[in-house]
Amino acid sequence: MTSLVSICSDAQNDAIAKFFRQYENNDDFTTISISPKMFKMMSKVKWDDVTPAVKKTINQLTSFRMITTEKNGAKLYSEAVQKLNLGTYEEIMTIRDAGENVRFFAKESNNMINELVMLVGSKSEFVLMSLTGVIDLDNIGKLGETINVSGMENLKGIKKK
Amino acid sequence: MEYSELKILLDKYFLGETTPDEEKALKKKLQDETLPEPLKLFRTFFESTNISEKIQLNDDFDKKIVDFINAENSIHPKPAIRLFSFLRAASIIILIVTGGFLMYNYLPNKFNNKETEINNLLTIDDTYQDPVLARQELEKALELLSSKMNKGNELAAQKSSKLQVISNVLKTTD
Repeated sequence: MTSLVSICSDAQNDAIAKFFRQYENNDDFTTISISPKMFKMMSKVKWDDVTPAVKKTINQLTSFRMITTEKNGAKLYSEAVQKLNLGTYEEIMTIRDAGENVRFFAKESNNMINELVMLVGSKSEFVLMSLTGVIDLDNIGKLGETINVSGMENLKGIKKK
Repeated sequence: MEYSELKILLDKYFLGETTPDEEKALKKKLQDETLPEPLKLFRTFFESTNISEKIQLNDDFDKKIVDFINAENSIHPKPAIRLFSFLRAASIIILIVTGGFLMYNYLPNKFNNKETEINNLLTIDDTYQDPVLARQELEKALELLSSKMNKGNELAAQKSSKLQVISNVLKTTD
């Protein structure tokens, strides 16, 4: 059974990995990739300056990836929808507001979300985010309350790869 | 010569192998007055068994036996068969478990080590080598995720409150 699950998620992760590989070296894109190994290392460093909600969320994750750009958002959004084989996920939320599309997809096992994909597309923004681990949506909702930041502003400081 | 044939028939009779015709012949031979004394003793034996032979089994007896067997089966549904199915199920389970165990342990890389498995699947090259920096950037990204999610929830809440207002208006106009 474990093998079957692995094979299925393998195929899906391949689709996401392919998409990342396609754009990660492009200067117009910003990427963040954190491997399971780095998550292990992160758990060993100081956590004093972090709120409990953030700490809890990060501690339960096993991998993280994000790719974002401010160019051709709408085009990339439809390309991602087409290429990512999202039918294997359960769509948990769709937001269409002021020319922006935001969709959340999740994979569950044993009543827990263990993979979450966020796709954002508008004229001036494209974001593909993929998280694995144990994902608590309530807890993630609380992260915004504590720091209260929105949109791309908070990502300005991210190094370009 | 005739006696030897009689002896063979007697042997067959006591082994339960005689046919009805042979039994008849046997009885006929035993009526022979010239038989030696030891063989004559069998005559009395067969005379006494004649009585029991007259008791015939009728259909009713068969029915009783069949009913009895059926009743026995319904009370104890063939324990041998139950045991056999149990053993069959058990052996299938053992096969699956052993197979799974062997596959998990001996197939190369992909299945035997959880960490390699995850690494292989995701093939993630870390953007940051410093865990503190990685965490700080991750925090920002999670905040973006959170803000988008909350935006969705807010819009959903607004919509549902609008719907509530509409349904209230409809109720009052009714």
